[in-house]
Amino acid sequence: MNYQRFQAFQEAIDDRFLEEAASAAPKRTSYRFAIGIAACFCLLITALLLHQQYVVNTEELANPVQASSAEELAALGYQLTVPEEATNVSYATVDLGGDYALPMAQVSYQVETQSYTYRALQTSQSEDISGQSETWSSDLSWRQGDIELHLCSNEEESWVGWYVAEAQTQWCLCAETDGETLLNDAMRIAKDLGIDLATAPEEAENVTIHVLELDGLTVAETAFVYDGIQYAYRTAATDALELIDISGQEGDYTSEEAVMVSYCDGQLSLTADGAGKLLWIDVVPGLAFSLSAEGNASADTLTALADQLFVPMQGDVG
Amino acid sequence: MNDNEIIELFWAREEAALVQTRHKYGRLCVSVAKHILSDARDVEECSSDVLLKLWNTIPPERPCSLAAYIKRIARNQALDRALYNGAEMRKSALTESYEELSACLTDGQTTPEQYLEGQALREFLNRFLEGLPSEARIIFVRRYWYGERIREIAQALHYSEGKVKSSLYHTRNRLRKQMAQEGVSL
Repeated sequence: MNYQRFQAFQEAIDDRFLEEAASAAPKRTSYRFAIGIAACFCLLITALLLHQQYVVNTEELANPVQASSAEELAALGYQLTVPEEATNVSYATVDLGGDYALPMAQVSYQVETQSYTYRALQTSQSEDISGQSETWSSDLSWRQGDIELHLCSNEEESWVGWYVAEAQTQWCLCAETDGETLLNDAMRIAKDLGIDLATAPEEAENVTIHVLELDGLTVAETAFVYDGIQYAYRTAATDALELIDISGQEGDYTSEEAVMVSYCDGQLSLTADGAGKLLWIDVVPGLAFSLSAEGNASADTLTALADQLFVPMQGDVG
Repeated sequence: MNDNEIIELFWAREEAALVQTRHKYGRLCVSVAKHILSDARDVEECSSDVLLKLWNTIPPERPCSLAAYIKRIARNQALDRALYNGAEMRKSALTESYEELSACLTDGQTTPEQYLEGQALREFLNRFLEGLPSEARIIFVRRYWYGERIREIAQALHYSEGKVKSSLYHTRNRLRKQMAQEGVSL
């Protein structure tokens, strides 16, 4: 079969089979089947114990999972810290085969009644290491500076991935919870790694991150309280060449003026009681920004904070 | 935005069609291209080529399934780019799957009369796939159309790699037997 015929072979497959294969989910075992399997397993274990001949060749297992420890994972170069209040903590490595220099590191733990699986993999590019193939009602990707983030969620479970090119490491946190909650759990975990998934001043309080779809754009938001004022800092990738409003804030603005945030054109709008928004756009990388305040802000505080938070993609500009 | 609305944007020649398509299917294009192209820049350029191809083909096309239409374009654009980049395609998941299938099916005795073309090939192949258990069919399509690696299929479907390899082996044998029974070759 030559290569042109292989292409013809591929062209011939109906769309319905492509859709079926793309959307296939792992089979869930029915209770009856599980009970049957459990019964057979009990019989097998009993027989093996009676004969006292029990040899498992782990080399025959696909993607073998080996129990491990935090120290062993650290020796491999992985740092998987869990919350202080975590219980039922178990560490493991997962051998993904020859394409990877190191196995994937994994830790499973519980916080109260919530179970988590936290993974890390040394890799040269962002990858989905969640091991999940559910149908997601929300599937969002965005960048936070040099970090590539991904959030998939549906009514039952979610996973958050973050990839840092400098560290050549993909991290992933999975749990049976909503995406918003898991995203903020991931933020706290990443902070232990020295990775900041949020954009907020150091002294900010009540820092939370969100991601949402707004007018067809994926918008990443960090909400925080700073000097007693509630702020929201947003960013979104866009093809727009002019200012767009991703703040989600509307108001009766009494003043509007053109400003600069670093080298970017911006617009500042304020109400009489100090609620306002500062919009700016970095056209070359295609990023829109907004910094909004819910009240008691001024033109100076908004522009100063925007200058503090905005990291130009094009390096320092004088 | 649903697929019909996106298609209407293409028909209205609204550039928002490209923005919406990139937002909804950008990751899909990258996923398909990554199984064929090993260079990240080629993958990115291929995704842009897909958008251009969509713009140039819709209209007059009005795909029933936009996702499937995009996957086919992405696959073909990636293959064209891979062939353009060098006489010998770089080792990729798709080339591995091609070699695997070829090694199983090629008997060196193909004649022009035996080679199935167009509608005949489509009918034979889809009849064969229809007759497979869904599990075997899904594994087969993911390997030989999407070009996924054994490990990727196993992880996605929560199977062992051994099970995936075994399923592919039996399906290839079944395909070879059916081709022999019907006196055809690929």
